[in-house]
Amino acid sequence: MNEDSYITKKGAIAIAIILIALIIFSLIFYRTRRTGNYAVIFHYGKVTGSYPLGLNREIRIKDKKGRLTNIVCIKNGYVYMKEANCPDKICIHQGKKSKVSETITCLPNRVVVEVKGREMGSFDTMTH
Amino acid sequence: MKRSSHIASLGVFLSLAMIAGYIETLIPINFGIPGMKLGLANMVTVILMYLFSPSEAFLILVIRILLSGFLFGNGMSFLYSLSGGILSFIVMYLFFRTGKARMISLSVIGAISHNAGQLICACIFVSNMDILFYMPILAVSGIITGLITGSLSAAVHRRLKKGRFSDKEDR
Repeated sequence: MNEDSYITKKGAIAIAIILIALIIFSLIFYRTRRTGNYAVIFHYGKVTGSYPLGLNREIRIKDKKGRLTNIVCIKNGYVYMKEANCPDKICIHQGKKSKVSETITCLPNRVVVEVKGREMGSFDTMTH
Repeated sequence: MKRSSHIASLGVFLSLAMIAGYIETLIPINFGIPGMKLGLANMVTVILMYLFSPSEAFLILVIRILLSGFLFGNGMSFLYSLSGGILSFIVMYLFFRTGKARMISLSVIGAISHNAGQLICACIFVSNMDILFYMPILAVSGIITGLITGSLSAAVHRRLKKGRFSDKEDR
């Protein structure tokens, strides 16, 4: 080890190149590949359920009077709004979602469907 | 005489490592990415590796993880720390053995491998490979935090070398 140098020029350049490459890689990686594992349905701001995307099913959402307002459909790893009684049908046109933190929103019925990754628990909160 | 003072310095470094690990939990740098942190305690490992020897650095590392695990942590956080700490030490040691390793580069490599070790441990425990998705961002954060702690370690090491711990007279 040289007297007063704690990093070599080569080392600094190598770290810089790796860092830039990694940042570019992760940007591409996270924009293209992070698919979620389950869909969480919020109704009037409250979580009413979370459903794995791997299981094909339909979730019927009813309002307070018990009328059917929306049908959320999970099929082949995608979640989409199949039916809604709202006038504009924006939620249906939002299409199929599968990536983490993508959402489908039906504003008139206050339904939000959000795709989430698997919950990991808190890891290493206290010690190093 | 020299021997006992050496043991006493190791004790000081151990307490330093533990308090650094504790201070770290007080700094909220969590950007929603689990497992991301500064790695202040790793500074002590890196400094000890250069100042004394890798074996003493390893000793302090293991005792620190055990003690903080029992004092502050729970079972899971202990296992995560241990897996990250051991893997980062092994990688850092191999790099150190080449003789070309400089402190800041070593610290960066240690930080990345620490994150990798924790992630592998997490993968095994939740038996879910999907969380490897976090690896690229954890590697980026490892490089940045490794640069920060490495520079700090270098600054500390430079001063320690000038003072009491100069050369080998203290051993």
